[in-house]
Amino acid sequence: MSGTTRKGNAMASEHLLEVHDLQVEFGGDDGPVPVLRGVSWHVDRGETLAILGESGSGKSMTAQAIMGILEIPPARIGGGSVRWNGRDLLGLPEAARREVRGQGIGMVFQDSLSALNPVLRVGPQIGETLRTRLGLSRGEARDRTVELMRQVRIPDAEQRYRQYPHQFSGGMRQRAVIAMALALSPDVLIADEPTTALDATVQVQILRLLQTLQRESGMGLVLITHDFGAAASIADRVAVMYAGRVVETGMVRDIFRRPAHPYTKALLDAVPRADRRAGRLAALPGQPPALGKESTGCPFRFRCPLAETVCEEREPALSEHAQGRWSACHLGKDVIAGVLTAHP
Amino acid sequence: MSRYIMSRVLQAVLVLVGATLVIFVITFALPGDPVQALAGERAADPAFAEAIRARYHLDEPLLQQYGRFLLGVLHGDLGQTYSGQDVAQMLGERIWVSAQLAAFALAFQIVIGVGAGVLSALRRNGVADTGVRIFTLAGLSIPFFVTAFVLQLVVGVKFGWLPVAGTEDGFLSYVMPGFVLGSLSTAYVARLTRGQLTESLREDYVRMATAKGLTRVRVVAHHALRNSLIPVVTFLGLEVGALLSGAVITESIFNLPGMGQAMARAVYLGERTTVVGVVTVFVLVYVVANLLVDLLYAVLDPRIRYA
Repeated sequence: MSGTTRKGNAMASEHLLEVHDLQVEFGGDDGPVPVLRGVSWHVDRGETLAILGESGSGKSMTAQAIMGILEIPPARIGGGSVRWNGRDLLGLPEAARREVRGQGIGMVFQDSLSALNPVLRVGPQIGETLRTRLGLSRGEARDRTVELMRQVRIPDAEQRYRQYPHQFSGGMRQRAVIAMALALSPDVLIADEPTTALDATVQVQILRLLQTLQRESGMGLVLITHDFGAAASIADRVAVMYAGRVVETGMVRDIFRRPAHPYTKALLDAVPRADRRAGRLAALPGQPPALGKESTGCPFRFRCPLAETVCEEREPALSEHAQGRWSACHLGKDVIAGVLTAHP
Repeated sequence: MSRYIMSRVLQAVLVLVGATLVIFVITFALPGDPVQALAGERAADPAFAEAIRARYHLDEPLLQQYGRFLLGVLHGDLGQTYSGQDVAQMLGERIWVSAQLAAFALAFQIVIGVGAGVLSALRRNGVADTGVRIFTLAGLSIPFFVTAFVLQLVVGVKFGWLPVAGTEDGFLSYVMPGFVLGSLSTAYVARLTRGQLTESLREDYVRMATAKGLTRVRVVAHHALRNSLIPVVTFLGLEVGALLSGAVITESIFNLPGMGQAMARAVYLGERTTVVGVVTVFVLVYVVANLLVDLLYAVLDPRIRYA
C-alpha cells in the first residue's frame, strides 16, 4: 500500500484525498436545494484533518458524496471533484468506485448501533470484505478478523467474534465498526462523528485509538465532528464548515489561538473550559440559515457581531488573510487581530 | 427456550379447546334438523329418527356431547358421518389434497410475491416497479373466484394448457388452483416485501455495507433482505390459516377432493360431525403454524433469541 508512488512524481502537488469545489443539491418540490455549495479541502498521508461544524452544515453529506453512498435521487452531485491519489472518483463507473471503497477510502459511521447489521455476528461482518474482496478462505479471514479486533483493542476477541451487535457495549461496537472500516487497510479513513453517541470517557478512548491506528499505518484521517475538544486533541489541521461551505481552514494550533472567522470564534467561546471561571456558557445566538434560501451575502451575517454592509452585498470567498490562515470573511484580518471581542 | 415452548404449547391447547367449543355451539344452533334432512322430503319415521338420535347421541345435552367429542379427539376419533363413514379416516385421505394445494399457493406467494417485491424495491419508480404495482393492485382488487373462472376458461378450456378441474393430472392439477388461491396474498406479499426492503436499504448498516466495498448483490441479499423478510415470514405463517379457509371455495371451484370441499358439502348437508372435524384439523394446523413462526422468528432475529 504505497499511495505516494502510485502516480509517480509528475504531480508534485497531488494530495492523498482532495475535495474541490464539491456541490451537492437535493431535489425538492420547489427545485433543487443546494446542500454543499463548493466544499474544498484535502488530506495527506499521515495527516489528521478535522472537519468541524454544526449539524446541517454539510459535514456528513461531504463524506457520503466522497464514498458515493448518497441516495441519488433525491441527492445530486452539482459539480466539483473528489480526487483520490489524483483520480477523480465522481466520474468513475460504479464498479471502479466500489474498488476504492474500503481499500482506498474507509468510512466509520456515526451511530455504531445502526451501522452494524443486527442479525449477523460481529466477527463475520468485520471480515466480510476479506473474503469477498481479497478472496481469503474462511479460516484465513477469521484469523485476520480476530487480529483486527485485537488491533482496535476489543478484549476476548475470539469470543467476541461469535457475538451479535446487541451483545456489545457502545464503545465496543464503535471499535467493531472501526475494525470493519480498516479491514482492507484503506489509505484514508473518514470517521463521521465517531464519538457522538458515546460516554465522555469512552469518547476519549476512541479518539486515542483512532490516533494510534493512524500513526501505526500512516493513513490519512478525516475526523468529522462538532466537538472542538475532539478536534484539538488529535487533528493537525481543521476545516470549519458553515451552511454548506468551508469558512475557515488552517493548522489547529493557529485556529485555536486566533480564529480567522467570527463563526470559529463563536464556536470556540461556546466550549466549556476548566481554566475559566464558572459562569454562563457563551452560546451562539440564532440558527444556521435555512437550506435553499438563496441570498447574495455572507450566510453568517445574521448571527455575526461584526456584520457590515459589505457582508450583505456579497458572499466572501475563502482567502488567505495571513500566512496559512484562510477564511471566508471580509473582515478576516480584523478577526485574527482580535478586534472582535464580543464575549469577554 | 424450553419454558417458552412449553407455554406456547399450553396456549395452543387452550386455543384448540376454545375454538372447537365455539364451533360445536354454532353447529348446534344451526337451523334445520339433520335427521329430517336425512329423510328427505317426507316426514321421518319417528322410530327411525329416535334410533339415529340415540346412535349419534343427539339426545344428550350439548356439553355432554362436547365432552364425548373431546375424549374422541384424544383417541384420534372424530366420530362418524350420518352415512356411517369414519370422519378421521375420510379427512386423512383428503388432507393431502388440501396440503398440496396450500403448498402450491404458498410457493407462488414466496416465489412470485417476494421476487416481485424485491424487483420493485430495487427499481423503485422504474418500469418494473410500476408494473408490479399495477399487477398487485389488480390482484388485491379482483375477487379470487373471478380469477379462477377466467383462468379456467382461458388457460384451461381455450388453450388447454392446464387441466380445468379435478386431480387426474396429478401435479399439474394443482398449478391453477394453487395460483388462484395464492393470488390475493401474493399481491400483498409483494407490497410488504417492497415496503420492508425499501426501508432496509436506507438503514445505516446497509449503507455501511456499501461503504466497505461490497457488491450491490451482496449488499441486498446478505444485509438488506434478511431483515426485510422477518415481517414477511410472519405474514406467511399466519397465511397458512387463510389458505385453509380459502381452500373451502377453491376446492369447490376446481373440484378437488380436499378438506375444504368436504367442509362445504358438510355445511350444506348439515353434517355436524364433519364440520366440527374439519374445523378441529384447521385449528390444529393454524396453531402449529403460529408456533413455527414464533420459533422461526428466533432463528431469523438473534435479538429475540438472546433476549
